[in-house]
Amino acid sequence: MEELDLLKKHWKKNENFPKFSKDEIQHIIHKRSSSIVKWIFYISVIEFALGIVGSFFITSFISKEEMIPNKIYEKMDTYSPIITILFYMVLVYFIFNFYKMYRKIAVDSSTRELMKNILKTRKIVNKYIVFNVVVVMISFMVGGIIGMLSIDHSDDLKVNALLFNGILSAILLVMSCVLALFIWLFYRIIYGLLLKKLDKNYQELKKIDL
Amino acid sequence: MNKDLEQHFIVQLEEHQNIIHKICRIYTSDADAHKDLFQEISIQLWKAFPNFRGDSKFTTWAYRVALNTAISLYRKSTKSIATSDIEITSYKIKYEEYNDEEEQQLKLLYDAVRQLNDIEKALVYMYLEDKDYTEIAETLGISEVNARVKMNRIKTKLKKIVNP
Repeated sequence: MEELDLLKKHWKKNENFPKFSKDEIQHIIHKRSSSIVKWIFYISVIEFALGIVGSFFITSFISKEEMIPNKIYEKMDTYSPIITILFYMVLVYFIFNFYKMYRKIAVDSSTRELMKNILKTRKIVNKYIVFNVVVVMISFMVGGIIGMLSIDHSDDLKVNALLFNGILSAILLVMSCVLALFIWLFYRIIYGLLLKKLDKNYQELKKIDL
Repeated sequence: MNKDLEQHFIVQLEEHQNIIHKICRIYTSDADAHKDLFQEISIQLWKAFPNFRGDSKFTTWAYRVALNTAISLYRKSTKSIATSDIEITSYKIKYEEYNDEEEQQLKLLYDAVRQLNDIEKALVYMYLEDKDYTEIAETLGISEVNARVKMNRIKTKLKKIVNP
């Protein structure tokens, strides 16, 4: 008690700080902010952009595949536009919610509210990433299955074809798992660096108000 | 119009800049980090200034933005943590009007406050600024009762740090 009161007495008197002039302040406020909100925004926009580019790449790659037999290709022709539309609907949903949350972040709200909104905004993009990883894994699988069905095995022995398909499925599965793990690690690193402090402080504040 | 707003803001900030300096003093531990945080807080204040409606005092509003910046938005905290052990004494605070013993005690106290976590620092800061618990609770977004309880715990914690 006495400790803080001694500090308080001094706190009021001690104004011995480097004083910035009006010109200096004007200069300062036009510098670039390095706040984490800005970083989260930039990284999220890049993630959305990458998702869109990636999906374009995948859809155009699959539909232009000439080696696919007509029977399968016809089916794909009916289903792939539906899937594409669904994909973009989900994407719009994510972008809309992200933007809505981002607008909610106000530096003059209460500390708890601010931190909550930052973390929520981030969570939306995280979900989007998980969605993308799942989509990529499924496309890998579907691509693999189509590939297997497309190969003409009439000349081979039945056993060989089975073995071949089995090995191919295993390779695809491992590849998609490695990819997912890689993406997950990447995000852990980026957001670990960015949000570690904020998350810690948020937990601290929540602990006070249990 | 925009220029007027800017001038108005600069006048206010210049007048009340000690609010920010005091936050920088407890959240950073060397002159570089102090300046860096001061800059980030000023930028955040300026960015949020168009939303400031003037129904609260400029200072009350500025406390909030400044503390939020220090706690949530500012990224370069690792630097200040890493150097705090070594460079804590490099912080020059004048204690002219005090005798040696009090001066020593004050230095210990400032060092002790810097050892608290970001949230505790915010509470101490507002306490030292004579804010009542209603305002402290509102600023942090916690209940008044819990703000009071936490403040008492911090006092005990500080006592332990200063008199181990």
